[in-house]
Amino acid sequence: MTRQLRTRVLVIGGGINGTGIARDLALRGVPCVLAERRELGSGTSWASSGMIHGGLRYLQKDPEVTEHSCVDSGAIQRIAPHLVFRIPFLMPVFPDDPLGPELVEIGLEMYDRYVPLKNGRPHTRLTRAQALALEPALSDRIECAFTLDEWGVDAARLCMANALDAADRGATVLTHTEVVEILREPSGRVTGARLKDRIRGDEAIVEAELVMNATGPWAPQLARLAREELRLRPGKGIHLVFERRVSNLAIYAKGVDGRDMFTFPHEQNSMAGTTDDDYYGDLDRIDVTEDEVAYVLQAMQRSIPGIREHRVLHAIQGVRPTLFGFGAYEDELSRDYAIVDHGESGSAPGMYSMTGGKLASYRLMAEDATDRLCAVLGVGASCRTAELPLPGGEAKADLPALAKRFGVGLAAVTRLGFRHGARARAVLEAGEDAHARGRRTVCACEPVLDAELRHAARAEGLRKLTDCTLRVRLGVGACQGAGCAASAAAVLAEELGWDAPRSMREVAELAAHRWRAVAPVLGGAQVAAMEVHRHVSFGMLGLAEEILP
Amino acid sequence: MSGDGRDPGRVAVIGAGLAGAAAALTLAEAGAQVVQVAGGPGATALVAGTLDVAGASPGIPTLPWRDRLRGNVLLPRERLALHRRGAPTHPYAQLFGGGEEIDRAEREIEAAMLRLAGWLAPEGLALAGSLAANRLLPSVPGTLRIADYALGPVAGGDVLTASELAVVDLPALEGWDARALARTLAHELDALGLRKLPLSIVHPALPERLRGEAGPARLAAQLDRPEARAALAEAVAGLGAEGRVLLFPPVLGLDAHAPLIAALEAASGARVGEALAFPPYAVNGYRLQRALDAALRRAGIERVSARVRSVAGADSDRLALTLADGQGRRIEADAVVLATGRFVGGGLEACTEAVREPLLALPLYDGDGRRVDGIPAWRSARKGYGNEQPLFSAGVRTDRRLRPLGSHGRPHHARLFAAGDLLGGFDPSRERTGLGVALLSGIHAGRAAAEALRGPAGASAEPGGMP
Repeated sequence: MTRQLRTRVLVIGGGINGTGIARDLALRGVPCVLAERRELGSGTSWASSGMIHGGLRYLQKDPEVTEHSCVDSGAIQRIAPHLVFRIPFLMPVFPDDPLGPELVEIGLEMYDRYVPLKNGRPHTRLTRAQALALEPALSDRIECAFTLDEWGVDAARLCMANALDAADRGATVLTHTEVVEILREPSGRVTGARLKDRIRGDEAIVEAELVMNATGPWAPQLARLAREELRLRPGKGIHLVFERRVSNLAIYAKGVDGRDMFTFPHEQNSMAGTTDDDYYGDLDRIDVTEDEVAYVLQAMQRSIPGIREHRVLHAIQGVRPTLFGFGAYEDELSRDYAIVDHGESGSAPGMYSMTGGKLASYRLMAEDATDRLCAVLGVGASCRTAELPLPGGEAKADLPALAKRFGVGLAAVTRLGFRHGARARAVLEAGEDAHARGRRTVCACEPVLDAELRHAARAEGLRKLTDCTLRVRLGVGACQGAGCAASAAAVLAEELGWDAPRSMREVAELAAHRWRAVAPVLGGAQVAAMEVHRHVSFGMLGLAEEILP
Repeated sequence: MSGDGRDPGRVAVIGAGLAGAAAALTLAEAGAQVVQVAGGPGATALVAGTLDVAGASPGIPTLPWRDRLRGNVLLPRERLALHRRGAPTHPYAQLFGGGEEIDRAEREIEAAMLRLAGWLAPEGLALAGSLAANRLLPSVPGTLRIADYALGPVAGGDVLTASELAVVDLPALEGWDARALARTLAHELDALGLRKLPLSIVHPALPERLRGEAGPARLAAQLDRPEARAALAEAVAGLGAEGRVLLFPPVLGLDAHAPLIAALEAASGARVGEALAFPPYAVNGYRLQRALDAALRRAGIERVSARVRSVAGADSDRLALTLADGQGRRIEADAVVLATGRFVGGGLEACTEAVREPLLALPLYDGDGRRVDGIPAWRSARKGYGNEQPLFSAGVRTDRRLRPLGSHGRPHHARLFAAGDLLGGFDPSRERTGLGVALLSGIHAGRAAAEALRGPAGASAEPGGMP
């Protein structure tokens, strides 16, 4: 029998917009269901640079975007301090740059006005010698350099934290659940959706007063289910992920076309990017191309001449749901957002779509969207998402004490603290039953503890092994899961009741998932790592070809 | 100097793995003066414990996970015959020919295995197996691997000759999950129609200092100590029964595995076996490497621990190695055997711009016969992890004497030979013939090099060889 759910708002899409809106609704006491077709944050949110920066780039054309981003960046630092880390930037100026140091500095002085909003420090100007002493990887061709302050965040965990808080406050969060039909009255009014669980295969009907389409680049596809037209100017972006830190500071670089890019430390790695190209292809199979990789490396090489000596682990790629604009280059398009009421723009009252926007200002956008929905629903409660901490952000965890108390290495507990904040203790406690197996390290690259997987399965609704790449960064290190996939699957099998074939399928899917990320940039020492990976997969696990997707 | 009938000639073998060791020992037995040059251990030190010769059935790269495999499990000698018929680029085709000389191939493999067993035995590392019977060995995750030959510690885990299997639980040990292993193994056995094998988990009461050891290599090192050996033997006393196999993680001693396994079998009354595992549980690779190194020392083979930067033909019957030792030291040799492996071993390198053979810039070919040197690795990477990946069957091509071919299609040098994973045309991961190729091609290359030293350089060249 098809499951029936009744709610006030159905939010479709579990990226930063969908989870942000679900949390805001839940905090205002509005019942909602969130449906995500894959894993939370696995689309554009994950593929972003993971920076909640003000967007110096937007200052000239979209000063509002800069201001919103800075204000909201400050808010995210307040509500989720554990997920956020400071990224000091170096902006080198080369003798052949069209803007000399003086003009660059004027721009930075303007930006300094917004910087206090996100607890950043004002820029400084460094001589060539100072900059090279600070960052030896930098090109010695520079004339001088500037510093500025930005912030990074684990974007997938930020989605997770929003979804968790929504669920804690009564929302229903469904992952791996896709919308197969938008339900409508004869009048055209949208009344909910028919959902399909992509793992179990069963369907559910969700009846809702309002439907919020927060599917990012997929928004036009979803709107089409309601026979509504929605236009975006989707822009593809890739990042290269290096196996370790290329530099201690983030470093600006210029593309051959003059676009600004940067390499920046992110978690255990460095990332470099990004590109911005109109994209009309399959959103579910976005390929990284030779041109994009060459373009990014070429840009980085100008600032960091030794960049090609570093090992590229894998690439990440996604598509921005940029607002439609005609006649402009990709980079010139507005990063602003819009909320579309399909009762006004078309003939589907009850349905709304969110387009455009930035990770850095997600909370503000969610607030705006939720205000609109609440006005329609007649809910008077006001937004509290900027005040109430996200799960884990309530207090600072005493990590050394936890390491001692649970007999786990400080490196592993530090990573745990970064992902779970004050909830790190609860995670460690999840591993205390079953002969304290939870203390064991499952993935040595990150590292990831057995307990964190158990916690994810019990308290965070984890459903697939591949989801662990986003949730706990399992299998994204140097070995790409060769050393941990089978052990991690064994833990999840115990927690989620997987039988042996299901476990093997999960392992095979993870191997395929990692190969997709690694293959386009395969080179250097990573080839040897993948040689070992294949020995494990084929030689020992016996992953048969037919179960490899 | 060489070829005068008295000076034995000097051969440089580059590489420390099984292929290099087999070539060096064969040359030493033939009376050559051998110097082995290696920067460090290669892929041999990472093996899981089987010495696959016949490998997987062609077209069935892995032991069937599901019951459709039933009936497809061929005997090793049958798989070997299929390999030779079906894979013209496989090094076996060079070694044994593609024709009907199956008996010769089998005899040669059996003889090679006896020699290997002889090299390993003084270190207490046994080698078990045959081409006439399969072994079915459980891995740490619980999957079953088909094997022809295997090192002693893992050979004990063979489920085909067990009447009962008990998995030993060691709760603190990383990567070892007895319950998960048993669950997966039960399914594997069922899929193969072997469900009658009773499976259980046993919980020996370990002494405190062993119980807390979380790292497999550290536990294995602990168990080399006689007190720890006695304590573990005491803990498993009485856990045995007729036909029962006690399945341990691969931690039963780094160097003193033979006395430990003997003590455990004596105390428990059961047969003892270790589960197969790749890194980080690479203790069997470590043991194999150690035993080979000891055999090389016993044979009086000189070892130079340095990476080789380049190899060049000094003239038609001499070659010179330049070492990457900071001083650019040179080693001159009358013949050279390259046993440098693939990407893990360093025999192939993937620079940002291109894949290459770093010592001589030899041309490299993938399994489809396409050149892969000079182009970046990612360009050879195909979509789909499970698809054939030509990059991972890349290596050099040789003539019948295992002399690598230059880009003109003739041997690069009359006295340059290649062995092991450096030979292209096969995918060791999917076909699982890596160590078989290493051993057999190592012996072949050693013999061919010894022959080259005996005759004048010109006479040893085949038609089409270097003048």
